[in-house]
This record gives sequence, structure tokens and C-alpha cells, in this order.
Amino acid sequence: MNRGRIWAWFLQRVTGAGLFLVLGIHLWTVHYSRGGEAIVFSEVSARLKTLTFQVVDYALLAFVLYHGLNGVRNVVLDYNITPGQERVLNWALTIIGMIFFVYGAYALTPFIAG
Amino acid sequence: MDEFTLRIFRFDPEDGQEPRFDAYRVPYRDGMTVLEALFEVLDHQDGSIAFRFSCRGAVCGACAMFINGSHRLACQTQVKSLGPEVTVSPLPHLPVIRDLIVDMEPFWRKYEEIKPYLIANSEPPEKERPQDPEDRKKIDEMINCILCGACYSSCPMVWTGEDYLGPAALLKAYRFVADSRDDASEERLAVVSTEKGVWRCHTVFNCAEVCPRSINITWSLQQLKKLAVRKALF
Amino acid sequence: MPERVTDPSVLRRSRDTWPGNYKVGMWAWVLHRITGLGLVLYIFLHILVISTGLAGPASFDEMLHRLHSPVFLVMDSVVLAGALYHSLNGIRLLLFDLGIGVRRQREMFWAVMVVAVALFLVAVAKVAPLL
Repeated sequence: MNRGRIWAWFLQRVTGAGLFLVLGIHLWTVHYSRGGEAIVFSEVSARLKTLTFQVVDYALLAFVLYHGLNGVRNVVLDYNITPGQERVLNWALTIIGMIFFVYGAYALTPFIAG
Repeated sequence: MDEFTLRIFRFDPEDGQEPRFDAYRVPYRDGMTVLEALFEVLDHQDGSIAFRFSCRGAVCGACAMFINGSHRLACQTQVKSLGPEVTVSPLPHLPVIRDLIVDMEPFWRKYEEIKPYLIANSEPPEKERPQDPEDRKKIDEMINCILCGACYSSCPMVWTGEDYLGPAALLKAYRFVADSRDDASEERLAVVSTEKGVWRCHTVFNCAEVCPRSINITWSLQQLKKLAVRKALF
Repeated sequence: MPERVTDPSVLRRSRDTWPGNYKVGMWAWVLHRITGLGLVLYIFLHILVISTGLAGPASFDEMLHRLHSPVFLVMDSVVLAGALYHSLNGIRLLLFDLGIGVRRQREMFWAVMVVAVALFLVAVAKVAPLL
């Protein structure tokens, strides 16, 4: 029994369910409830000064990166790859995920500082 | 319908020709199955076509083929349900031996991996190992499998993943895991809860759609996943 | 004597990989894959767009103003359609993992489609006045 494999499968479900919630909040408040007016810095900043939206946005960033990159991994695993190739793939995806998490988290700081 | 067109996939590794489809005009009889149509051609038009069959009654699983866009048993498929054009080819994604006959070796090799037999730790009894009717009910559906290979051939994870065990073997694994007389659940879960096992299944449901015995194979695979998750994580 | 089949459409239909032969669950899976891969690409673009805020409010506002043209709004709608399908079919898959609806997968696919289209129309109605 491959515990790591089962965790990856399980977390894909957990992040998926989480995304359903936080992505729903994000899409509605940021993009659609306002009728699609152009988004401006001051408005995003005002929202991101609240703890709720800091939690929503950072959770969104983390969930979306895990779910998306593990999803890519799931696709690749369907195509007969060797254990060696799988190790390279896992590392590559982990590094890409970390870089974009750090960069994305950093990109939100000007809004929080306002 | 007096007559219909039957197109048959032709391939003979020894004649050096490319695979092709040959079309035959076949007289229709009421209640004619695709298997009977193949016999009609074999007996009266072309003695060179090769296909596999045995029971003619959907219990042996020998005549699974790809018929008009779906994986089916030739003996169970009414020509009438297909219309005036019937196209028959061997089960896809298995090596073709000749015409409609495929090599089932990969299917059986994977089937053996899940140990498709009862493993009981208790002493063998005098006669049989009795089972409570309630316990037997839990495996009624899975026991219906006739190992025809239709599900295996229809699964897109089999198409791209060489070592994926496939729906039939995993169904059989659950059949024994759920059997009250079997003591090797752990051993079986160890084989099944792997990359080549249930985690490769993405619930596409092709297996359940094509099963000639109407077994919802995906349901059993979902049960195996649930057991594996519970055992490994909680 | 048999006649050799040359009609390419017959040969195409004789393969189970041909989309015309896909069944409901197969379409659900194929769409889930395509939208999933598309959304992964979009995430990176989205992070890059937001990161213009690092250069100050003015550059962020300028970037988002530029992205507010009809062309980009239509492209946004395509992303939204993908996200709606992927999320709702994801719920369908999640229910299967909880043991719910495994014997009703076709009906669940159509339910996903109905809800996705309805939500999509609500969103489009919100944005439509801008086009």
C-alpha cells in the first residue's frame, strides 16, 4: 500500500472541496457581484485589509496551486512513466508550486499594505 | 429488414497484408444476433473469417468484440438493435491474433496479480465453506462477471497505462475482499491500492457502461478506494 | 465475394478512441481534463497579472483597465465556463468518492451541466451591459 499516493489522492479531494468554497467567494465578490466594472487597486486593497479576505486569498493561492499541479501530475501518471521520470516530475512540480506560492503571496502584500 | 451489411475487420499476420474491413451482405432472420450473422458469413460466404465463441448464451465471455461503437458480446447483441449496418472489429487495445481474435494475455496476467481465488486461514472443512445468504448478497453483483474483457478494453486508463490492472481484475479483488470467507483482504489491498491499481481509476464509467452483465464495476472500485483510504489514513 | 471497405467515416467509427463513440461518463472525464489543464495555465497568468501591483497602484490599475476590453471580457467568460464545469463536475466526482450517486452517474452529469449553464448565464447577464 502506497501511503504517499493515497495522501495525494485525498488532498486532491480536500483542496477541490476547499476551492469550491473559496473560489466561489472570490469569483462572486471580486469579479461578478459588481457587474464587471473594471477592478481598481484601492478597492482590492480595502478588501484585503480584512482578515477574512486575507484568509480567502491565501487559501485560494495554496489550494489552487496544489490542486492544479497535482492535477497535472495525475494526467502525466496516466501515460506510462518510469519511477525515475516520476521522481523528476514530482520535484519539478513541487518547485514550480513553491516558487509561485512565494511569488503570489508576495504579490498580495502591496494590497494589504495599501 | 431482409438483408443488412456486415463489415468485418480482417487481419492475418501471415499474409503480409494491411488490416482491412470486408463488407458482406447478410440475409436477416428474426432474432438474429451478431454472432449468428458471423456464422452466416462463415458458413455461406467466406470460410476464412476467424472469431472466438463458445456458449452462445452470454455466460462464457468468449465473443466480446467492438460492435458499432461499443464493446459488446456478439452473442448477446441483436442485429435489429444496430440497424442495417453492422461493423465488427476485435476488442481494441489488445494485440490482434487474427481477424476478430485478440490475445488476452495482458488481461489474464493482470487478473492473476490480484490472486483471484479464495484464501482462507481456517482449516479446510469436510465439504464446502458455507456462507450466510446475507453475506453472499454483498457479492452477488461481482460474482456475475464472466471475464469477457469488454470493460478492460473500454477503459481509457488501460489505453494509455500499460500496467494498469484494469476494471475486471480490480472488480475481482473487491469480490474477494468483500467475501466473508476470505482472509486475505490486506494482501489484496496491498496490490490494489497502488499506482497500477485503484488510484489509476478516474471514474470514467466506460466499464460500467459496456459490461454485458450490467455490473457497475466502478462501484466496486470506489469501495476499494474507500477501504484503502480508511486503512492508510484514519 | 466481400467488398473492401474504403469509406473513411466507417473506419473512423470503428475505433473506440473516436469521440463519436464516447459515452456520457467519458465526455465528463475528457471535459474535466481539458478544463483542468486550461485552468492551470490560467492560474499562472492570473498570478502574473496581480503581481503588477508590486510596481505600485498605478501600474495595477493600468493593467486591469487594459484587460477590461470586450475581447478580454469574452475570454474571461470562457475561463468562467471552464471553471464552472470543472468545479461542478468536481463535486460530482467527490460525491462518487463518498459513495453517493455511483449508480446514477449519467443523471449527475446532466445535473452538473444544467447548473453550470444556469450559473454561467447569471454571470454573463451581470457582465453583458459592458459589452
